Amino acid sequence: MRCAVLRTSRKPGAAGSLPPQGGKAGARQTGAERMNTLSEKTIICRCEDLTVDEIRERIEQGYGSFEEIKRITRIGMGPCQGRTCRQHLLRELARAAGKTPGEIELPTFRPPTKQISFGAIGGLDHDQ
Amino acid sequence: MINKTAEVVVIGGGSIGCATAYNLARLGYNKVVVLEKGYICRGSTGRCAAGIRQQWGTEMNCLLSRHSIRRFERMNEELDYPDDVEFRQNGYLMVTYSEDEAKMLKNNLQLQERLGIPVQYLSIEEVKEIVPALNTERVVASTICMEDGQANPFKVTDAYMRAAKRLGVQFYTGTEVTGLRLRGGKIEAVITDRGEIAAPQVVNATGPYAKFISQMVGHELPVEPERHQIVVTEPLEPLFKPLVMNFYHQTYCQQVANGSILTGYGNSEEPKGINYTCSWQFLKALSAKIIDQLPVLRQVNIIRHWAGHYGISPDGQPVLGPVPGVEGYYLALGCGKGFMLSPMIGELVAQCAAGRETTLPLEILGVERFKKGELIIEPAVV
Repeated sequence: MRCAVLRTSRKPGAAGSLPPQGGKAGARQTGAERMNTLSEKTIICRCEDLTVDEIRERIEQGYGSFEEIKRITRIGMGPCQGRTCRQHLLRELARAAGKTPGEIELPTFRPPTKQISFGAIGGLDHDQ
Repeated sequence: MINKTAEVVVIGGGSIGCATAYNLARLGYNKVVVLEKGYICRGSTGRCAAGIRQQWGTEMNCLLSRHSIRRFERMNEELDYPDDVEFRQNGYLMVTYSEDEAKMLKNNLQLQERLGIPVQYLSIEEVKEIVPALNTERVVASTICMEDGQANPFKVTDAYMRAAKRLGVQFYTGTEVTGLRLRGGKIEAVITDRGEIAAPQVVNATGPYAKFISQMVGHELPVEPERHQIVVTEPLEPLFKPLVMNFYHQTYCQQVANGSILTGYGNSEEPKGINYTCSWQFLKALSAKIIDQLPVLRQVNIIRHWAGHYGISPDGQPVLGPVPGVEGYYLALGCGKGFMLSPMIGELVAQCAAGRETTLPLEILGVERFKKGELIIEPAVV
């Protein structure tokens, strides 16, 4: 008996998760500038397959904090545990609230720091 | 600024608080206020294992869950929810390793059959067929109910909150109740860190925090917070359908909608109290329990670990309805099954507060039973 790790597939028609590089030739864009150039189909949470427009819609509906959006969309709850999407969501929340990302309250950082298997923790693998 | 007056204040923005507020508004209350000290779903609802079952050992737990399941089945439509509460009836598989526990399951089965709950007693071969990954070496007895299942606690609470808002209910998050004022044995006002709300009725839907609210009116409530911890793994291809509840290991384990395995337990030996920390001891013990039951999960990675609480009542049953001696004060406490019973608890407590006839008799679950010693102990808890 074996079990297989599930690989999520992207939504059909979704653009890549990296924002397009544009703007003045040679000028390095700030993160906020790049967020402004995202297409609505750009994925910002790869684990849960969430596009930037889905997140913006939730913010418009009144889910104004990181914790609320996390609970309703599962953003940051997948295998990467927010390592990819956290900064993107902070920027979106900051933009909507007219604040800087540093002023947005962060969600709880939960253990384990790195993924770890039941076998490794149970110590059973060392006994064999 | 918050409202200065209300007809009824519901304390707690979890599934029960939101369901109660929705039902109060439906029964004709015009000024319903919900107070939540954090954000919606911050407490036990947002931390629970999301299971919904009818396989209980007391008549009231069976009836409350039976009626709740009927409401989960049509929740998207009833609450006109544009999203999906993700109610899935994949069953609950109860597993025992000892003759004593097997006897308990058989007794419960008789009660469940009498109440029309479709539960089956399974042979070991049938267990293997339903969950091929399960280690059945030590299994003595097992039952399954295919109407049981799971739902998304965030979405269920969101659905109730949105429906309540459409009916005019006011929600104040980030608002902590610091006191309750009585006059002549009656509720007069709710005091918060954002001001006072004059109200003749208050519903305590704060789960594991309920005793602290009760203390504000001088009421000693024997419902104690018990920490439970849960982990979730990386998502897997479909592996098994029902939630596996093991009485020997005291664990619950299920594969949730996105493919992750969600499993945990609570250590009843721990000192009672609010404790949100995650412990290494738990991870170590849980890993051994899971590898014994589902050896196939040995190499599967845990990605997230959190803690929440049950509000433990002396008999394992909910505590519902008025509190004698404190007029206008009502309890809406699921006591370890708040999320799964929230549709019925919300309905019954709202009916009771509104002075209407209740769908099910409520008196038997009143708080006076602890004083009178009239306890009917729920045996099927982990």
